[in-house]
Amino acid sequence: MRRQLGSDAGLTARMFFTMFLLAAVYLFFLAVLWQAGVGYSGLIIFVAIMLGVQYYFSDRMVLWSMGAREVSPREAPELHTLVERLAALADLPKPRVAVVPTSMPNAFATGRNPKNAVVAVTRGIMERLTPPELEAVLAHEMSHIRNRDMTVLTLASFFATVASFIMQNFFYFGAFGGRDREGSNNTMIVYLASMVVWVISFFLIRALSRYREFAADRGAAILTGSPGQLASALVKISGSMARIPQRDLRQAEAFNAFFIIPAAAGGNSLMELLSTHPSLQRRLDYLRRLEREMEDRR
Amino acid sequence: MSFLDALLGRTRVPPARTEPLFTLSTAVITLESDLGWHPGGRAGVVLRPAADSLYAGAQEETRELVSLAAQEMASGVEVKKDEFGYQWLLFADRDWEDLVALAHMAGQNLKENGAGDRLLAAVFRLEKEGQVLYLIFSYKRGAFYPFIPVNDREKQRDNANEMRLAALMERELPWEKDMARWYPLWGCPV
Repeated sequence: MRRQLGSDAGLTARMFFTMFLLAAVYLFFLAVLWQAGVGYSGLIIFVAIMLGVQYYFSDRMVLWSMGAREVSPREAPELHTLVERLAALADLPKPRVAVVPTSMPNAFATGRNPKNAVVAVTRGIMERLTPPELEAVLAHEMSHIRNRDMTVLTLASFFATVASFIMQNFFYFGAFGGRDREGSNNTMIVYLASMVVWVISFFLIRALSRYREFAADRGAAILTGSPGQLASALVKISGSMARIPQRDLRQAEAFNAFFIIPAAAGGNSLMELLSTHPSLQRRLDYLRRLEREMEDRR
Repeated sequence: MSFLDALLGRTRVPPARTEPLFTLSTAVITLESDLGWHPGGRAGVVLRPAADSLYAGAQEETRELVSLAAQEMASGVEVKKDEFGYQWLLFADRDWEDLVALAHMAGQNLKENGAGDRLLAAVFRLEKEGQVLYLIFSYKRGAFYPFIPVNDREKQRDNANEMRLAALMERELPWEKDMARWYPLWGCPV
């Protein structure tokens, strides 16, 4: 009996290692905060509430800020059918479906859990892709939902957010630290630790985000059974992404983490390290590998 | 989907269940005598084709096997592709048991050839006074649900009748309890 395309042991290991490192950095950060004494628990609670609210309302917030509108099956029958069939194949609850009225071709998924998830596509992507290609893109987004990427990345960036708050409000905390020498020393240490934690966790979170993209690409290939369709969709989207006017690019910049392809794609390896998404070439290579893996499974 | 699978981003398509299909052979009596839905002589299996040759082999073998069986039972078989790229194996037979057997055989054979994860649904057509009821079996959930289209273009379905059917049939058939999963199949060729 044929086994399904399994999980990618290398990818899983890298993802696990990244999360492990992130946890280590955060533990170090917590230890420094603990050493420095009181004054930071309030901040942690504040960040927890802020991220919690952001996470809880993520579906509505992202839809609202992107100008996306939820569509009924009557308005977008084809889109709904594709999503329904994928949900049935993957045995997932059907996410809500939204459309962004822009000609920029893109798609994203958001929501705190599979039951409250939304997949959104732009008018531009619906016009450019064939149904099987659109299905592959939707399968990628639904893999994000299934893998709970929103939760994973929100949790992963928790202490990085705390660290960035401390950095930004250094002078406030500096004044807080008291007049005696030990107090200001502590504040300085916390500040330096925050900076180090922030920088390291930034890279780790970006790496994690890229690994989650590969995992979602793999999930799409497993769901649809055709890695080629996703590859062809990615090429089509990125080809037209490069021709987008600058103004749109800036508008879209903040939401890159949710998109199937970021609006501003860098070319060199440093840009790649800073990016939320793997480069197109790497994704295409990965999809080709999946195609071979599927063929070799006999 | 375990916690660890989600954390590490591993995707697994749930396996298909084919055995519950046989509960249909007896359930049709209730459908006919109590509810007035008569078998419409048609059924189908719909699946999402994969691109690899292994799948192509499984699909070809299943088609041949089903065609052979259909010849013996004097029923018609047709293969069709819809606008979304999904493949339909369509059966025509006056005998309800034969339809159930063919649908089960197709699903079972695909499963044995390792393509079970590609199975989406089996669909059985029933009729009453010009209305059509599609009894849909989801392979992933191993459960049935009703779909009574009223107007394909307007995407209207007869929810009242579907719920009545659910109330009366859920004890006889493995039933899909979650109504949000009663996915329609508009323009169903069955």
